Amino acid sequence: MSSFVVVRDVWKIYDMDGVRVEALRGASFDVEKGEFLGVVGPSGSGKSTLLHIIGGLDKPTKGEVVVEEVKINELSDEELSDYRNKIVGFVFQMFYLIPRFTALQNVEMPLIARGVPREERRKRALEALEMVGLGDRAFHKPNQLSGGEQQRVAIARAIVGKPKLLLADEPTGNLDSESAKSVMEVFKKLNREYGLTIILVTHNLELVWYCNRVIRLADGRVKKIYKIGEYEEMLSSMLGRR
Amino acid sequence: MKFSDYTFLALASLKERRGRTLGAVLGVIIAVVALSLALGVGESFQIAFREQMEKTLAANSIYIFSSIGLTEADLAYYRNIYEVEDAFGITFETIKLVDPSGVKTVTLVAIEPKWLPEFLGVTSLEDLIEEGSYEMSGLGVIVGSDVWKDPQTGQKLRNVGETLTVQVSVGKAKQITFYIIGLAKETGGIRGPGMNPDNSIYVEPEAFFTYIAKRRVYNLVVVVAKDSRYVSNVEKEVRALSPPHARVFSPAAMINQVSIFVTALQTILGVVSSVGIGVTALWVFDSMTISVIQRTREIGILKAIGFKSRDILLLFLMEAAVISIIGSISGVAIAMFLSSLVRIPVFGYTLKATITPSITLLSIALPILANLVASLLPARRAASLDPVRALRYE
Repeated sequence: MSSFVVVRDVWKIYDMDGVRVEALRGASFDVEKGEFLGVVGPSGSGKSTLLHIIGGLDKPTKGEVVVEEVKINELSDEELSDYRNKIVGFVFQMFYLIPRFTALQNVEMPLIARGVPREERRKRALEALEMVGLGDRAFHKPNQLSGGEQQRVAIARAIVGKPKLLLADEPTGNLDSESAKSVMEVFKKLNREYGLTIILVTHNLELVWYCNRVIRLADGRVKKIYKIGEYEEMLSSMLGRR
Repeated sequence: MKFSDYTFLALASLKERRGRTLGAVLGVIIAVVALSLALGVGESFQIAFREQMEKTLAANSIYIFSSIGLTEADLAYYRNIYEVEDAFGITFETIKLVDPSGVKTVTLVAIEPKWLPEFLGVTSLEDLIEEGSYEMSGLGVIVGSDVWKDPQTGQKLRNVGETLTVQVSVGKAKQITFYIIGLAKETGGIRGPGMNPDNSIYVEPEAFFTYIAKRRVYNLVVVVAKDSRYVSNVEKEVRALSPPHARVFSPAAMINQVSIFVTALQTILGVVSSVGIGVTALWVFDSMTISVIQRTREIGILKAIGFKSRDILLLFLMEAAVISIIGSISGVAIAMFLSSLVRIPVFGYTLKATITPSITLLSIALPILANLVASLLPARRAASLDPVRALRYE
């Protein structure tokens, strides 16, 4: 039986005003169901590009991405929208909440796209907010919430559609350490209690302790894959290089 | 996605940009009011004109003029046409009315009394007579309102039973004295063809041909069709039967020609007023283009969480539709209100804009269509945005 996520020889080449930029250069790895995978690497190593490709926001120039035995790179735009709506959930560094809507309405958004009836989606959105500890902030607008709370609303939005894969791109990048910790605790709970597969992209090396496995990217390639117990070696290697 | 969700999202977005939305809605309202009123006034003018024409020139009649004259034989031919109800002849002569204050030119009209309503466009003889009788015989005549009262002051100059002395110049000039049996109501100017009925004296034909004319011929024959639907066929047969010197004229055809002209005028008014709709559509295009740029990141978010390109397209079109629907319905309501207040004097008629169901439909549908077309380009641009680029947009 194949892995839940299979990334095979993925290349992403951009043409930036005539300059060829290779964001990914043959990245390959697998992710098992229920795994909490960290992806670390310096800026420009291709972490976010990789996440966008796995999440169906972007297409690889070459290579193959298979999620739950479906080749993502072969899906049409319409199918990719469905994939983003039903299979994956995104959490971004900038939260990306829509300011004019309340926390509850922001969380309802993926269900609106899916055509879920109003009452049901409201119930599910409230459940998702309660799951991230914000049941009492449902009717607040983003500007009435702290950064940590906004990110937890974004997590609630990502999980409200019961996705199979959660993709987090620098989710603590804009948060203070306390808020970052509370957000990471939510990820941990989702992974441990609900068995949600998570891929976390970060350059914050302190977060690797939440992960079952860590991929180190450099120059668009998978430099090395670390298992629990090998993180000290990775940290000393990476910090040593700095 | 459901229709109610598109509406909810569109309304939320429009509410956020309320200044721009209000501007666009106001633009649509002004354009719709202008369009509705222009078309309404055109419609009103057309209805009033047609009614007046049909009242004046009986729509089921055909007129045959001849300077040489039409005979009883011609009348008999016309009466024999299958779809003809009847035909009657009229002769009119310009005469001089001898008055203590001077000499006045009037028209002496020889016509059977029963055809007077048909000829003058009134429903009955009772409607024609102000005072006295309508049963003309011998030298007893009905006089038009300008003859029995002063057209300027309205002062009564003549009464029933009084005599009238006229000078006629048919053949040898002579004077004839009539007596007045009836005073006609004012008809409002030129209604009958080729004469002013208010400045006329109506005499029974037998008396006219006995005392005034030598030959029993008519200047004008009116052929009355059984129904206005048959006018076209009857006209063709009348033309075939008429002598070469006769001129055949159908009021229905003239009314149709004028109606075509008025419709064309109404269309031009509508097109000119539609410029406002075009300007509003440009405003909506501009507003939508700015909105797409301002909401680029939001579009990226929506795409990232599973909104399809089609959803984004319909979302923007829905915003344009909401603006157009609110604006056009309000515009039509205001136009209806204004039409009940404003009266426009045109060519002697007092018109108010008639907002018919078809004008209402057009005034609502046109801005919606124009604004949807105008917002299609920005909406397609929004729908085709690359989600990653959209999310990174600053």
